[in-house]
Amino acid sequence: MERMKISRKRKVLIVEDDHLVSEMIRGILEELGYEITGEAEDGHEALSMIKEVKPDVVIMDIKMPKMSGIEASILIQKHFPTPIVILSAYETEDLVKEASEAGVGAYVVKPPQPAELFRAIEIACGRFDDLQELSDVRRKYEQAMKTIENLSKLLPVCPGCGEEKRDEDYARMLNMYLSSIPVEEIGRYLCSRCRSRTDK
Amino acid sequence: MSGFYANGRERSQLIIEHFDILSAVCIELNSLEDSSSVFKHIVDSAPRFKGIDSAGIYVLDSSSGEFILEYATGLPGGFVDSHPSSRPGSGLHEMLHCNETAYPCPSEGSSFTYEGSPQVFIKGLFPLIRSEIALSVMFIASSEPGALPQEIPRIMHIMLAMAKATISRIDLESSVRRSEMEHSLLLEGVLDPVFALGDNLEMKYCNGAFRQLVCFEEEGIEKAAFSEVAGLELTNIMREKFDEALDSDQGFRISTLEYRERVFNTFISRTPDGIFVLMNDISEAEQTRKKLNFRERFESLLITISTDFIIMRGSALNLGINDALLNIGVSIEIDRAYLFQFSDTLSIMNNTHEWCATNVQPQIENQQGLKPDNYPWLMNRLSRHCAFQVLSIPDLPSWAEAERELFESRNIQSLLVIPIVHGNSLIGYLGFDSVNHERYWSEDIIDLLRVVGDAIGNALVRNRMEKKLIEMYRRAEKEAQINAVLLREVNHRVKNNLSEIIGILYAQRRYASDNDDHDEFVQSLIGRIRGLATVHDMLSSSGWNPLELTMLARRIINGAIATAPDGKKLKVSISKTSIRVNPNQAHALALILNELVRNSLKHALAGRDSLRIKVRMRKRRAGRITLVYSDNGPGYPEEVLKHDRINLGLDLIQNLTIKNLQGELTLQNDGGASAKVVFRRTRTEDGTDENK
Repeated sequence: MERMKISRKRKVLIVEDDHLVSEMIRGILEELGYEITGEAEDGHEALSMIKEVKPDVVIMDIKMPKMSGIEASILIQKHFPTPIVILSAYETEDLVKEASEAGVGAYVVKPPQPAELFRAIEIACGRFDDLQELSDVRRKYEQAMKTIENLSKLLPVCPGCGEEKRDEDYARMLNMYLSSIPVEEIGRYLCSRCRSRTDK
Repeated sequence: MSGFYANGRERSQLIIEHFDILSAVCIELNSLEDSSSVFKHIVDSAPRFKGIDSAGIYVLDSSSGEFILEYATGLPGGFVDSHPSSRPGSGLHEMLHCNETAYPCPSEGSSFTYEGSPQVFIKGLFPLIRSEIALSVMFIASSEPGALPQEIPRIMHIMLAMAKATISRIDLESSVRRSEMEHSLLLEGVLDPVFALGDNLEMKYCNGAFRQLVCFEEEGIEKAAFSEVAGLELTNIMREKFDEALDSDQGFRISTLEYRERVFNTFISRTPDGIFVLMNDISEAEQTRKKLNFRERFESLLITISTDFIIMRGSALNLGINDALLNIGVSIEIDRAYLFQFSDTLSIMNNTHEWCATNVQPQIENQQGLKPDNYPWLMNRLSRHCAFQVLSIPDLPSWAEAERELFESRNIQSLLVIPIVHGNSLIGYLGFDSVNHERYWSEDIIDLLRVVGDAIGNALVRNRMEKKLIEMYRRAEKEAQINAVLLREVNHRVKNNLSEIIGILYAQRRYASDNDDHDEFVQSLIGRIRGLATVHDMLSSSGWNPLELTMLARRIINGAIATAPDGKKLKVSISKTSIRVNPNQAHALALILNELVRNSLKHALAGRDSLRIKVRMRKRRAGRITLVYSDNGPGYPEEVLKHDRINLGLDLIQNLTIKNLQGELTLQNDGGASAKVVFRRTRTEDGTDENK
């Protein structure tokens, strides 16, 4: 058990409508060294608590009153992206598929071995981090693509006739682009004369 | 001999005379009708020639070996008397035994002369008949010695040749007559009509059968015109066929014709002088052939129908039955064919399939839901499981009044009924109606229709069995699905229970202190796990359906108080209610009640000999349910009521109420400890009350 302890103490939110099962999860997580940051009884409560306690990972039951674990997982991933481990006594293929499509990181069947739950939590967190990173890269890529698109419109020569662009539209677009450059980055865009004047 | 003729002229005159006689004899012979007369005639004719005075015939009697004088002319009486026969050894006998014509005769050394008066000189012998068993010899004689004219032997030969030719003619004519007679006899013996016509279609011959056929009773038909004897109808039919036969290369024609409701296979043959006709009456054979043909076609139809029924299922079977009724109806030329089926208990019969001929009113819609009890005669006949026919509806017995009305309402004249039986059970019947006229069905047809009845019966029973099997299979499939769901639920519940047990262990460890009694720890653990086991048992027995709250409370409380120390009196009162709670609520309530009883036993019963426990359950407004558990012990300590102190039992009661039941818990002292749990009935997503 000692080997399984994590270097960084993760905060865990338990979402479970059966009190005794909550007791079990709490007991195992405490043994594994996780911090129980809250306990919710259904999906609704989980959504409101997650905003408050900002857990590192959510342990979620599926069959719960008011809102099921799958529905709650979809909403959590949409509004408060967090790693989720499903802990359910059901293990049908359909449920596993639904959970996967809802963005769940791992699926564990009750009652879990502590090591099993540990691996599930860590894998879910790892996968979540990877996804986040991937998401950042994608966002940056999309931004870069947009910048390139904008810059290509600012070419001073028309690729059709080879004439220099002198119309008002071009001037307006150029001004708009120049004004969108953040102040802290403007130095990179200056000509040598302006740069030397600025240096002085 | 040369001196016999005075001169050449005289001789020529003689020859002419002789040939005149020969011509006369020839003509005379032609009118004779038998060989004996012919021989006699040439014997009689011999003396008509110059030099011949007498002639006769000796015939050898093979038994005595003597020649008998058969016939003679011109012979003196003495000769006839003395030589009626000639024995072997006599000169005459030896002479007669000649093998060839002997002329002039007597030849040297074997002459015979009758020495009486007048003398007779036999001058020539001419065998008439010569064979191994018969020998007849004609002789010619003269009363004068000396040779006869030299033409005589030739004339005799010519006469004999004429006689033999005449006899051949007579034999031939006799043979022809005999043949004609035999032919007539033969044709008369023929049972079929036979007749012969001449080139101009005149009657030459016909037998009795033909006369009978054409109703011709007059005696003579010869030379009568065919049309006169046969009548116009047959003449018209035959004329074309005669032409065909006459034109035919083979010289004959065989064809079939129908005349006076009979069928004839006619053989018409060209003959040298007309036409020969044989009318072979094949009416019966034709009728038999038609019957056989019909039977063959009908059997083939029934085999097809019966075979088809083997593979027919569901709607295909209905189509097949309708098709079979149509085919049978058309084949046996009836007006309506239909199928009635009985219900299993024979209480209802329905007309399920029907075929009607053109212009015959369908009845199927009027024949639904009939009660067999109302038709005792019909049911009586059907119960014998034998086919029956009603030739005339008015002839039904008086107790078949209802049936008469039923059949008359359907305009039935005659009716055939084929019961459909499977095993010993009557399952229906095939009906065949004749609407336009009364009708009789032969046993052959009935037997064949019975085969169809059996085939339809088998198909119907098989169809019913298959429907039942499909129903059973579907039921089994549904049960299997339910079982699969139940198994999944059991699996889920078991895993949940195990999780809860682990949860109890973790919770119990969390609340444990170093001062805790080990036995007490274990006992409390056992009690809680037993509570879980009891509710699991109840839920699995009910198939995870809602449980009656009273029953649940009784089982849990009785189980929990069983652990009470000996000698303590415990009285439990549980209110009766029809409230049912869903499995999750039942589970939580069972654990809550278990903890409450354990609490009562631990704290309220301590230092007392008896304890009264009461459980009251009520339905409240808006689907709320209240459960009040109370005992008559000392009540909860103040710090418990103020939530200052809490133990595992109270923690479980509180959290199970709040989390699992989503309800409210109120603890108070009211003549003892009292815990009130209020929760709502759970509603399913579609708004129905799940607890129901």
